[in-house]
Amino acid sequence: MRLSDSMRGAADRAPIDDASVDTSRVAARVKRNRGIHTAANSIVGAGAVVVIGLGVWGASPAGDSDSMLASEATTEALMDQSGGAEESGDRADAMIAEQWMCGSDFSPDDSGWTYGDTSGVDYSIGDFTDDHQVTETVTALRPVDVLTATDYVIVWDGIVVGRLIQDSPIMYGPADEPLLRPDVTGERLDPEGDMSTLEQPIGIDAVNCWDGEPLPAGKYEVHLAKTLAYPADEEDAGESAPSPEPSADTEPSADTAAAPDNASSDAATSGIATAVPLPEPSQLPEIFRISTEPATLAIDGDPIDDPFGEYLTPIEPEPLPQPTELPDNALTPEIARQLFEASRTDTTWDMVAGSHRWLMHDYNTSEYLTYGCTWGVEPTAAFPASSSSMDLLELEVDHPRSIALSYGYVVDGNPEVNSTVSNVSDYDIYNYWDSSVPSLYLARDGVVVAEAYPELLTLPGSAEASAGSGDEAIEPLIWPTPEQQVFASGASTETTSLWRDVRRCDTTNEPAAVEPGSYTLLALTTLNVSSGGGIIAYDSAEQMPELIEPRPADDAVDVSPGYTGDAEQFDWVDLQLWTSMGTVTVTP
Amino acid sequence: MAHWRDTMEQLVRDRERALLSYAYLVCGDAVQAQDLVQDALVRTFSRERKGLTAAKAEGYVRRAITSAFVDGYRRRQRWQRVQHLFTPADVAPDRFGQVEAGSDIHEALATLPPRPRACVVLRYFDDLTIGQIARHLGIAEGTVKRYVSDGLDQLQLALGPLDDADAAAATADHADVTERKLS
Repeated sequence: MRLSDSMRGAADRAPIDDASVDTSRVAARVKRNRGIHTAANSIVGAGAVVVIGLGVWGASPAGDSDSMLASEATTEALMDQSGGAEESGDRADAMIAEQWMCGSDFSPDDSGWTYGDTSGVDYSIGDFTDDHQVTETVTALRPVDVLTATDYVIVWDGIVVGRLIQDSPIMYGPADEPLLRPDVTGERLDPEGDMSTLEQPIGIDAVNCWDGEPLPAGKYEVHLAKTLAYPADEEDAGESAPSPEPSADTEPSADTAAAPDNASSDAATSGIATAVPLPEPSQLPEIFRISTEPATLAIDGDPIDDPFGEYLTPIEPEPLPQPTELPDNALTPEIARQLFEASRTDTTWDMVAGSHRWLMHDYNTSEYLTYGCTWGVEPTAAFPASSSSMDLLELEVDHPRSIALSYGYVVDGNPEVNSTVSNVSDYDIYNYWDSSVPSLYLARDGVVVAEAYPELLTLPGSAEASAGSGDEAIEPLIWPTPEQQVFASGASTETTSLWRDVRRCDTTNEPAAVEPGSYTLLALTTLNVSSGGGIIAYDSAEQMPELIEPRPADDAVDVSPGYTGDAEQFDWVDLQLWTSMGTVTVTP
Repeated sequence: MAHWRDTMEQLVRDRERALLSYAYLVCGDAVQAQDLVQDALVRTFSRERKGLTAAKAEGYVRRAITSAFVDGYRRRQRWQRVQHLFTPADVAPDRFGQVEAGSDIHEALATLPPRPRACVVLRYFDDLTIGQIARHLGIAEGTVKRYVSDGLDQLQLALGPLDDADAAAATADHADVTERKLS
């Protein structure tokens, strides 16, 4: 039986028929990670692209490359905006984020303020009255549905100081698909109908948008805008018929009767539209947004200097809550390097009983020294000349002085190997996952001849003999120390294992027996020290910053062999502690 | 359509089952496999990779699946959580040395701890060398060798003798050495 074949067969038979990959969710997360979805102001721009695309999507025939592009922009930008809600499962309620915030710069050319094909309407306003009212006039040149009431911003020196922004008529469905909000109702304006013009007074609340205080004396620009849509049926009749064509010879169903293209028949006669329905995404009407030239709002009184200074003066940002970093006495990769260097030695390890040496694989320098089995082909069999004798962990192994081997197996019972790993440093070791069960090696003349992996018998820190029974005896190879992986300074962890076999590992001639005689018994334990791994603790979830992997600074082609995104965030060293346990005699 | 998304959707369209199967092999749970694949796709496509084709992307995604699996394991702070996530309840009682011979490969794999399991899959399913596995998982080659060796021993307890186990465990080192010499 070949393992590789078995595994490939097993993969073919994997019971994953009910599993599937939701590319929409993946795409939304990718988009968010790529950092396009960042701040409110950028969302404004994205929202404009969204709805522009949305309009083209509804109005243009399938296959049109531009509209496909715009449609894609729509979908992706919408997914951007839904990203924050995605994780919470509230995507159905997600809407475009708040825009044109108090104190933000305003430009009427902002692509979010107006967008789409505005040729279907004329929009104008009159002058302000003394009670801060202005009359707006919307004249339809072709059928349109007015989706929202009027938005306005009061602008002083290019800065938004007052505002009334309606909710966006767009929401996002469970799959991040754009939808009209179900509560959106529209007024149909139709040049061929009874109502082709909407004329109404708009009252401006002359207060600032920070705390509602009356605007100080002065002159302000007021910009008005509103969101409308071309009914789908109106586009159907045009040259650029949309792809979803309603059936002409059938009565609309209950569902489709609510769609804007069908609702227009009534609207055409009454001039007043019924509620704009909740269409399927593919039936979304072409939405657009119109705005007026700014009107001047004059507030009487004595002008004051810097009227909004108290609101606009930058406030020193409250420093982000500092994560509860690892305590000062936590072992970090840098400290590990320092300890290693402080005790680095270039003398040959004599492997005297009780002595130890550390080898390090340094992520930063790629320094990688190794020792162990050669399998007859490793170029270097001797212990590396450069190592460290630092006191970080101490490994003690209580082992038999003599073992009898037969075909590699320990006979006369499986002798117990009691091992203790102690943190003898001044540092607490966080995220300690390494095993306290040592690997054992038989060495002769400084070269490893054979290896052994004792079988765990008891759990670290537990006096119970629980091998093979109870839920506690699950993980024999990788076991966290008590206290949730924190291996505190001065702490120890103990295990009891069975020494079952010894395998020759210095030759390619397998299976070769371990020759009787005396060997130096070496024990190995490893330690990985990393700067990452989620140990940073916060007092509350709200304090956690959003972790977005920064985009690459350049466009260099990535030729890395695999995904390395996480690795870039971490610093780590892999350490091997070799300890000589003295002599062990192998008998036949 | 953005190029990356086009690539991703083509990859999922063409290789969804293969990726899910691979993830299942890695984690042993269909629901988790689904999450792993999606997480791996997010990891892969969250970075700009010029010239990335669906075929190339599959390699990235496969590597990201094992990374996500092992990373998830590393970052859990309590073993009980790890046990719950990575050892399906119905196979959790299995222990080293307690799997009956002839067991299904999935059940046998389920007895392996996460990192050894990932190493075994990378070694025997993906045919990666010990050095490649070490670099990919960010652990020492010696650790990988140990995981692979222990994993094989455990699998043989469950599955019986494996033809490729002895030679492969040994020649893993040979392959690495050969690889280095050739390079």
